[in-house]
Amino acid sequence: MARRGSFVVRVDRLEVNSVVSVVGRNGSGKTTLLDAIAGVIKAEGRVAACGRDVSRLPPERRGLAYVQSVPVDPPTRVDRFLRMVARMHGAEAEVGEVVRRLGIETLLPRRGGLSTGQKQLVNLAAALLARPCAFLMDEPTSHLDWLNKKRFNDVVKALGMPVLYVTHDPFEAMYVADVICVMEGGRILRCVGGQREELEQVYRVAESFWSPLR
Amino acid sequence: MDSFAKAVVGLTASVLLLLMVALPLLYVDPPPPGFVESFVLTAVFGLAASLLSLVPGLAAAVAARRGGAWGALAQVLYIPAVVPPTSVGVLLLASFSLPRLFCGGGVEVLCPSASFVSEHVINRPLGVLIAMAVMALPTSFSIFDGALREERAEAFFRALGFSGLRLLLLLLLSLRSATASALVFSWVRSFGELGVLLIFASYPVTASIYIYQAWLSYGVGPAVGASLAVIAAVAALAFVARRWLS
Repeated sequence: MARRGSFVVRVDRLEVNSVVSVVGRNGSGKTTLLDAIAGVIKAEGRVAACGRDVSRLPPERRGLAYVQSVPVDPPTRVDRFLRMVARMHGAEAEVGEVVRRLGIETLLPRRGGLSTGQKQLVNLAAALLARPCAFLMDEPTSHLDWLNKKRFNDVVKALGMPVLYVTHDPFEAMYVADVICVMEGGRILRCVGGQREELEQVYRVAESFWSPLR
Repeated sequence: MDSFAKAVVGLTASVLLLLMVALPLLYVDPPPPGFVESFVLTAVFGLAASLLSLVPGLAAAVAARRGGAWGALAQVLYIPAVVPPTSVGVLLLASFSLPRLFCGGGVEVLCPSASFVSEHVINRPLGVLIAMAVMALPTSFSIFDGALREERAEAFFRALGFSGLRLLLLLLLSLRSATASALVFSWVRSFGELGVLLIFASYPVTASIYIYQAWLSYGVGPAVGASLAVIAAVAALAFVARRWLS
């Protein structure tokens, strides 16, 4: 259970072993839920990650990478920032692979002037290099155009790691998640399996709109 | 921009330019000697004070965003902005005069502190720096508080494993636009600081003290000359700095 002002989020149990999407309307408690799991706000109850109870640990020791809706500006040049994060987590050898996987090679020498989509990919790269046990994502594509959104979500789908993915877009949830949970009034009402096949066809059609341009 | 907004901006700017530049020009006389020294001194000490205020201002903004007791405590940084600057000067003077009071009262262990304060703090360069840094804190705090409302950078960097001073430095660099604003605006503000400096650290002479003394000793004309020179120099430097930093 977590509170933000007078608003209370109460979740009995939420198990995340693959990509689990939480969908809900504005003010349903999705971000409060993520903040509580990340340790940004106080919560009662138990949060387990990496096979251990992390409820009493600060966010920096929970092993949960938190990607936000408004991407954070890299504090230094992109390559230096990624190396700094990688060095801290003993993942220096993985920098090249993560950069290739996200297709951000051209961004490495840049410091400022990144678009929102580029910043979000850099944020995801840093999150990957922090070697977390799981990802918390709070509407990570809400500021991205459709193609960048798809690119980001394709990476999320291919992570092969637990991801708690918050969105208010049910179509996006269906595309990215294996399980979709509906949240309302601070509670999770139900969880259902994701339905990808049909939607992937729709996505392919939508992607074809840009195909002559790419 | 909407035409009504244009009219309001035009009217406000015109009135300000009229009152603060055009009409005073009718009085202008060359500033008395010492203008350049006081300006440079204010610029240097103002910059140092602004730099000193960045980390505490950011830390307070982070605490304020978290809420709770630490968030409430962070609001203390607003005190210099909400009480008269003369009160801040008086309070600083009282606090720094305590060792002398106790030393005179027989607490000899405080006598070295008393002599340090009178030799190096009150009406000394260190005093100017302390006064300006105290007055810069609310500016830094409010700018970072606003920036962190927009962007939840702290949660992101903490989740990556950063904490302590490293976290604050990353935030300073990541929120570079806010950092630049905090630096420039608290630096610009140091030129306008009179009350606290007049009482706590009136020497070495900073720009505001210089203008005040010019008015007392030479009348309105030289003080107007010095004031307009400060306006022109600060506005130009702040504009250049803001463009360069952002």
